[in-house]
This record gives sequence, structure tokens and C-alpha cells, in this order.
Amino acid sequence: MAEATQPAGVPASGTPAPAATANVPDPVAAGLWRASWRAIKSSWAGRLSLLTLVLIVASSLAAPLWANHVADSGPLTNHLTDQIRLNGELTDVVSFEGIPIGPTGQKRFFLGADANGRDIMVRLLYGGRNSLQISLVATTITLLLGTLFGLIAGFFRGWVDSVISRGLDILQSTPIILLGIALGVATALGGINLGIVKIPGDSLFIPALIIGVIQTVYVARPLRGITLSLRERPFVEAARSQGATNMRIIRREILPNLGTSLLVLAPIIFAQTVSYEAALSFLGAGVQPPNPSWGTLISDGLDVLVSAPHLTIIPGAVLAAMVLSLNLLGDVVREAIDPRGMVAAAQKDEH
Amino acid sequence: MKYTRMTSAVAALSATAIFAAACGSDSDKSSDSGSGGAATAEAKSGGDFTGTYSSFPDYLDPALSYTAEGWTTLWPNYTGLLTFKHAEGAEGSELAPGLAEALPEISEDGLTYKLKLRSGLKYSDGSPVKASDFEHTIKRVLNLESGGSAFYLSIEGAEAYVKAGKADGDISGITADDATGDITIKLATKDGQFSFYLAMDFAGLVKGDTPFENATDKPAVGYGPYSITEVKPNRSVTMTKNPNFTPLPDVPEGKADSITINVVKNQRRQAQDVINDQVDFLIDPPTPDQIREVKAKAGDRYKEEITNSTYYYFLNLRTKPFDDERVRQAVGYAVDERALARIFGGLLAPSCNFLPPGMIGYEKVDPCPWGEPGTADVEKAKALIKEAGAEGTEVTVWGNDEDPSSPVTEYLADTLNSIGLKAKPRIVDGSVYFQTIGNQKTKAQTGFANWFQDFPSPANFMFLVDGASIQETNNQNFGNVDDKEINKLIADAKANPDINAVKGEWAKADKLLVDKAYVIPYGNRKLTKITSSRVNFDAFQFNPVYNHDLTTLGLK
Repeated sequence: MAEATQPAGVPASGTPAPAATANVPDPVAAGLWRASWRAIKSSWAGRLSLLTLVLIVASSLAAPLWANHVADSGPLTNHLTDQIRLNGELTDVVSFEGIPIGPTGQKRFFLGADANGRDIMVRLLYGGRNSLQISLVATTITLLLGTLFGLIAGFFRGWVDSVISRGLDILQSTPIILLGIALGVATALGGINLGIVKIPGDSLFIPALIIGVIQTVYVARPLRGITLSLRERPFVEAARSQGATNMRIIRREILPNLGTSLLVLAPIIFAQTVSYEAALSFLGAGVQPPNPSWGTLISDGLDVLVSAPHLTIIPGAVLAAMVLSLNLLGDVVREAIDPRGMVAAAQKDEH
Repeated sequence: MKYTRMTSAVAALSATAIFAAACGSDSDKSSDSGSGGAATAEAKSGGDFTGTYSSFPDYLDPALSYTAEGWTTLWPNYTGLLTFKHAEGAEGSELAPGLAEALPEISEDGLTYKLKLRSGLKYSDGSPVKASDFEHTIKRVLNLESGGSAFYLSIEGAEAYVKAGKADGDISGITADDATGDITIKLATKDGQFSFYLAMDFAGLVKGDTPFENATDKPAVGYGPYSITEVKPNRSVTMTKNPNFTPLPDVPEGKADSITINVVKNQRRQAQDVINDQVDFLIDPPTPDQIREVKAKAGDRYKEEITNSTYYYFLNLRTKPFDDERVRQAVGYAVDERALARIFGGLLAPSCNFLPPGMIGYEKVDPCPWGEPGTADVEKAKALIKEAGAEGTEVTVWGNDEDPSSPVTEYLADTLNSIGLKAKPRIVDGSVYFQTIGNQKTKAQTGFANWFQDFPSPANFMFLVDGASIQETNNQNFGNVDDKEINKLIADAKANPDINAVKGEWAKADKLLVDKAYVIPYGNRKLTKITSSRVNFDAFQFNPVYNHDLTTLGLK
């Protein structure tokens, strides 16, 4: 007797789902990864964006090495009254007028200093770590919550769908940055205290949680649409007719078929998350000072934009490179595994 | 004056002092004013002038305004029974008769103030100034729930008037005779500072029929060298010479025919405009990275002025580790005022005293127990922390998100870490910062604090460290300083209306505060005076209470 739940994407009849009738392409996970990798390798945009991402991630991970063995300064260490030798002359790290030194090209203050005399290169690397950590956690939260709500709403339909969809409507109708600022400011002072769970106000998990939650709608909506379609497919009918419970159908039939969508959505959501993190931190509602992130670094440089433009330009450029690379990579992956833009179409339909 | 927003231009500074910083600063080559004194030349009369502010005054109503922009703008338009001299330096902090013939006659018990209105004075609309208008003026302050109403609640019947909630009610402690001009004020409780309150902008006389409502859009009729003739809310305000003004001994005639103040949010553009002679004056300092350019291009019309302000770190004596004097001393040794001056873009005069140098009662704490301002002894600080057994103690350093609080807070956290404590900064929104640290439940250990004077008396600073002012909420004695000796010195000194007679007490209290490291003062904020090339720069005065004195703005 055939197993009620076949390997992902394979209906109970044993016949692979015809691509023309499916709402998603072949969702065999291993195949997806291979197809994505092939697409990245074969396109200059893919190679360039992957290289940029690897460089940024690797250098961010190496932040302590640079700080301890090259710059000899932590990300929070002030050097307001220090002097360094530059072109043979002793130079203030921060001038009496408060103007920080520009890029020196030396080990110390390679990219210059900020208004508190902190080494920008060190802070940029640590800022990258913080931004990437937050983005990673936030993206994970978004994908988990989005999948959960999209799946439940699409599978159960009826009042469950109505409740979740209206909730998502409310979330979507709220300006996302304003909502993020409100939540960020509210939690920055006292942190989050839910009895057993206590998160201090300066924890990186708070901005990650906020961004993760407010982006849920961008994953939940397309996945709901795809689930609505999947639940009517013959292999689900077959599983149901063989007595499979709802939970088993979700786990064994529906969820594996959402793999493609998630793989396509993940880099887009990650890029969006990086931007939101920077925006919230720039506005003071994300990473709390003195911890660095790309957003706080850009914000810190604004007051001395004319005399020390590097303070804003350098983190801005890294941020732009990161987001651009993620988007390019997302496009390459999408074209490889979702050539007919089904995820995008589902997203559009939902809107 | 209450705490200031520095982000957009040192917005709410209330007063300044002109004395040079008594304590040195490193490589400070700015042109701080010297020991005060009158400007060297008199400006010519005539001309229409324009200036720029970063933000519009909070109110154009003397009863309500409580910001530097408001006070600078309103002072030439509204004169009280008393005023401060139109002068720079210490002289500008001196009380002088305004619409009153002389300074008040104070009864021996300090509860009754008698004044006499000058005769023949006319408001800007030509109507006569009456003695009873004083009561109306104070009623407006109280009825409109002005931020300044607390200053006048010591008048007998003032609290009952507020409680009754009737605008046309009576304040029993004020009696005025329009025929003779006699005004008698009875206080319910003795307040040695009351004469200062009579000279504040809140008590600038307005005509007796001025409605009990915010008069910003249609400014009240008052008495002064100028009258406000046009208001474009949030954009500009124009004042022109008051034709009905008669110069008073301490209230001179204005020089300019008219002065228009425009709001320009962009500070960078403001400075460029004045350098290029497109605007005649600014009240906000240029951005730090513009100061060099301003000094290079317009150095002869740029001057830095030290304000009657104090910037300090509070240390909460009710929380560990600052209940231990050795830890507080360690902070004193570790903080480097030179470093902090850089955070202020050079616009900070390092100091060891809590009282600002322009204040009566200021005596330089010499030698400073923690080393001269601008030096730091981290090794000594480390040793003290070790001796106190406080190594590794967790400390939260509080600050707000308004410049320069955030970098100043981050600096202290880093400094405390460098001496063996385990500190981290906590930056909160500026709008809730002082309420947060002023709530005893917060148990704020240490953090950023500052104060700008409301009126030029040490009492206006010392209440911040007076044990009697400690409260559960809205506490402004953030460190809960409660030293019997200091409390007594403050109580005795502030009860005496003759400020010069008690300046020794104020100085002693100031020194005790520093010696016992109850607070860590690190400097006084500087403001700047910048004008166009047609303005008589030397004659344009910087008053310690009202900042830029617009009555002295004139042509070369």
C-alpha cells in the first residue's frame, strides 16, 4: 500500500506533480539548492553578489581579530584625547573643535575615527556583525511566523483564515517604519518583560524581534495563497482519503511544497531586513548606542557630514552593497527555481 | 531653566555669563569673552535687521515663554517692574528698576515687597500703564498654568487663586493703587529670591485687558523699546521700534528700526548666510565642523560666550557603588574634561565647580581635588576602585538621545569601564529622560545632567543638590545629595534677599560638593555671537540672562 505521504512533491499516485498545473515548481529541496548554486555560478551577477556577501560576512566575523591584533581598540573604546603619528606628525584623533580624524590607511584608525574618537573600521566590522545577527534572527522569525500563519490560514480557510488575514491586513496597513519606531522606543527603556522571559532594552534580540514580526505579512500572504492552491491538489486529496490527519497533511504534504517559495523569499526578506534594521537604528529605535550597527554608524556621522563625510559614506556604502548583493542573489535564485514567477504572482494576487 | 535640547541649536538656553572660564581648557584659542564689561562702541540707530533661529519661540507671550528663543525675543518688548541691566558680564546679572521707580522695599521679615510704578508710562498702543496691570500679569501666569507659575506661588493668595480656577479672581497678596502707582506684594512664605522673579520675563507687564489665553498669534500689548508687529507662526516674527516708549534709566532705546527673525532649520545654512552677509545675526552656534570656517572667514565677527550653565554627572548616593566616597572620587579622577570639550565641539569651558563662573558666589575650587580640569588620573582612579572593592560592579550610565547627552554618556561608560567598573550606557528618549531618572524607582546610578539658569542666583543651581528638594518622583536632585552642612548653607543663603551678603555661603557649599564628590561637574556650555559685517559687533551685547540683547543690535 502506498504511503499516504510520498516524498515531498510527489503525490500519492506516485506521479510527480505536473509543473503546468502546480502552483509551484519542482520543490525537491536538494534539487533546489543545486539549481540555485548552478544559477549563481553561471551568472556574473550571481558570482559578484555572492563574492560581496562572503566578503562582508567574513570580514564582520573577523571583527575581533582586527580589533585586537590590528587596530588595538575595541568598538566602544573612546580615544578623544589620543594622538597618532600621521605623515611623521602627531595628530589629534579628535580635534578641539570635535572634528574626528579621517581615514589614515594605517592599522589604527584605518577608516578614521568618529566623534568619540572610536575606530571606525573596528565599529564598522562590529556593526556588520550586529546588523547581520539581527537580520539573520529577524529573517528566521519572519519565515517561521509567515509560514505558520500562511499555512494555517490557507489550509483551514473559513474563520481561521478570516482572523489571520484581517490581522495581516492590520499589520500591512500600518506604516512599517513607524510601527518599528514605536515598538523600538517602547521597548528600549524597559526591555521586554513577560514574566519568565526577560530581555534587556539594549539586547540585539529586541530589534530582531520587532523587524521579524512586522515583516511577517510579506511571507504569510504569498504562502497562504500557495497553500490554498496546494490543499486542493490530488495528492492532498489522496492523503486525506487515506485517513491522514490535518497535522500530518500539513507536515508531510503541504509544508515540503513551500520550500521553493521560502528559498525565493528568504534573500528578499533578508535584504529587506538589513534595510529595516539600518533604518530603525538610524532613527534610534533599533540597536542602542553605543553598540554599533550600520544604521547607527550612518546616524553618528550626520553631524559632521561636511568635515568628515567618511563617517556616513563608508557604512552607507557597505549597507548598499549588502542590500544590492542580496537582491541580485535573490533574483538569480528566483529565476533559477521559480522561472514563471509564481511566488511573485502569488504575492501580487494577495495584494 | 529646564533642560535643554542641544540637537537643534542649543535651543532652550536661558542665560549666559560672560566671565572667562576660570578653569583652563586645552588649546582653546576661541575668543571667549573676558571679564565682561560694556561693549566698546555704541551702534548707530536705524536700519532693518534680520536674524535666524533654528526653531520658533515656544510662545510669544511673556506669561508662557520658557525658552531662550522666547526670552531673547520678548525681552525688548516687555518690561517688568524690575529687570536685569542691559549689559554684559556680571553687570548684566544685576537687578535694576524697570517700570518701578526703584528696587523693592523689603520688610524686615522678608514677607512684604513695596514698589512704586513710574508715572506717565504708556504701552505701545498709547494707553497708560497702570499699577493694577501687575496683578493681571501675574494672574495670567498662574491662570495659564505657565511653566513659570511656581515662581509666584509664594505670593499670599496665589495658591487659592489657582485653586479657585477663576481668571478674574483676586490674589489677596497683591494690592495696587492706580492713582499713586503703589504696589504691595505680600508673600505667604519668605523667599529671598523673589526680586529675581519680578525681573523675569514672566512678570513683564501686559495691558490689563489682555485675555487669559495664549497670545502668541496676536501678541499682548506691553512696554518696551520694541513691539511685535507681525507674527507668521513657526516662520517669522517682526518687531519694530515702539513710538510710545520712553527710555528708562536701565532700559535703553533700541538701535534698529525693525528686527525680523526667521526660522531656518538648517544650521549650516544659517551660518553660511551670516558669513555671506545675507543675515545679520544668529543665536544658535554653527555646527562643530563649521566653526573653523566661521573663524577663518568671519573671525572678527565671531565670539564664544560662556553661559551660566553647568554640565555634570550625577552619582546616586543611594545606590551602589556611588554610596562609597572612594568610588565617587575615582570618577572625579577619571573624567577628562578635555575629552568632553571635544564632544561639545569646543563649545564647553572645562570647570571643576558646580556653580558657573559668571555666577555670584562662584569661587574657583583651587586646587581642584581631582586635578586641574583637563587632566585625568586613571591609575589613581583604578586604585580607589580597588580599595573600595568595587571592581566589576555593574553600573548603568543614563543619558538621553539629544546631542550632546548621548556621546557624553557613552564617554562616561567607557571611562568607568577603564577604571574597573562594569558600565553600560542606557540612552532613552529625551522627552522622558529627566522624569525617568527623577523617579526613585528607576534607581538611576549615574548619568548625564545639566542646568541653565532661570535667574542669576546660585539658589537656582543649588536646589539640584539640596536634600530638601529630594522627591519620590520628578526629583531633580538626581544623585539624592543630602549633606546636612550643604543643606544648611543653602537654606540660610537662599533666605537672604541680599545675594552679595551670602556669596561666601554659596561658595562654601559649592566647594563642599566638589570635595565630597557628590557630583562631577565638568564644564559650562558656550554659545556664540555671530553677525553680518554691517552690524556693530562690539556694541551687540550678550546678556547673561537673556542672551543676545536685541536692543543693542545696530549699524557700525
